[in-house]
Amino acid sequence: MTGENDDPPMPSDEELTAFIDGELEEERRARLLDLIERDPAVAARVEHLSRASLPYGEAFQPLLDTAPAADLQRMLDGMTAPPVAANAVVPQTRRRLFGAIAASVAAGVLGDRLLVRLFGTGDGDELADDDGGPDREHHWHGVVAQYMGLYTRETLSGATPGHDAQSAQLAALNRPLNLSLTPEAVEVPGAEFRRAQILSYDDMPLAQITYLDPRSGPLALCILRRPGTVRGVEQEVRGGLSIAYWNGSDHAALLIGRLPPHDLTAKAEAVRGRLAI
Amino acid sequence: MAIVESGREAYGWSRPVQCQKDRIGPDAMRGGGEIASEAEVRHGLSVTLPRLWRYGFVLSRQRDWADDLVQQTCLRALERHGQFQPGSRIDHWLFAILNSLWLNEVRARRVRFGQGTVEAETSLEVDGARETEAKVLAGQVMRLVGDLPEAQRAAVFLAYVEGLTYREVAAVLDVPVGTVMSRLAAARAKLADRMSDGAAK
Repeated sequence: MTGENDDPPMPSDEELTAFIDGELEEERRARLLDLIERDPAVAARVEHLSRASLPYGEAFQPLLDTAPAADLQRMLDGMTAPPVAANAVVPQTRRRLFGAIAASVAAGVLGDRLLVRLFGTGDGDELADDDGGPDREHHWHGVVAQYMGLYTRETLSGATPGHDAQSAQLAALNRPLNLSLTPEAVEVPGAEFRRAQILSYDDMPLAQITYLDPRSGPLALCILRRPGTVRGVEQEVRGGLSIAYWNGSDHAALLIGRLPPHDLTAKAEAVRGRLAI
Repeated sequence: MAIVESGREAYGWSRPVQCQKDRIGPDAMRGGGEIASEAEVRHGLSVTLPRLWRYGFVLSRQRDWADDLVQQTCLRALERHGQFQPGSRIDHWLFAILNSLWLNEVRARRVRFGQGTVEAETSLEVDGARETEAKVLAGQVMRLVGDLPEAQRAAVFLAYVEGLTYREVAAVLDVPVGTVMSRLAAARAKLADRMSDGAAK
């Protein structure tokens, strides 16, 4: 708007809109008012544009009322700020383990096919029960949770490997674990495949497939060879991470991530339907 | 025009944040104040969730995308709570985060993955919003706004529904004030034409 003449032809719609919206400074507003008085064409344009002055606030109120406020609040309550989370959830007594794992990660162990040894916690109560009882059965969940606590979005910021590369990575898991994983079978809804690698738990190979969920951050599907009773998906929370776990006849599997348990369980159900374990 | 005499930089929230970082330094940012700040951001999120969701819905026109956007906004805001300037409008800061996520990540990703195109979605409607006359009118206004191109829709929503000033809208959208004016003027002309044509009846 360069027109500072006494009698400009026709103000732009931008200026008239700003006038209607009360966004023009006083001097310009006064001049425009004067122009509207004198020029019927300008007055008509203002009148026309004013037809779009609708009850927007009232109209959009119902939309506000339909927002899933309770769900959103639950989601927020379950969310930990990532930079704080890794340290906040680890009890003092487990620093040793944590340090060991952190050192492995720092040394680049997250590269494909390298062996990461997942240590026991050294917590006597948890390790003592070595006869297949429920604590022992789920002990590896806690170890995986601690390990996954180290992951941030940045850890998995790389690109998604192509289908062939995924197949190759998965093939490296299949033989030691007696699995037949394919990229299709391990697909996690809403998350992007990042890498598959073998970790070691209690001297047993543990398949770890990591994903980046744009919504919640790192996710991992972990599979351990553990013959037993077939069981459907159950859920638990460890160290601020949700875990959805299930058993096949030959393996135990879990999906872990920092998202609401029921969301994770839904993803786990989808994977379970495709995964032969 | 008087309204655009200042440069756009002055309106963005990113610039003051940068100044704050320079002044305080990275080490000081890790002090006890950061915890209070996270709590502040968390509280701000908590009281703004429905409005964030509504903005997400207006942008995306789909409920699940709105859910996504709010979740990502929460995550991003908590991650970057140190960048929020205490005393400034946290709702506007959150709107800006959501808007940026929409433009740079969610929309781009959805389109790339073929999970729906942005241009051809359904109109803004609320289930059961046709029961009374007031709701009929509300539905008409929402449909009119919903039919606007995305950039105009966002500006109209922020200015006319949320009541932000032009400068505040510019800050949220990270565009010059002049751009906000153009979008609002174009939107107004279009809406006015439709009202005159009786298209909203």
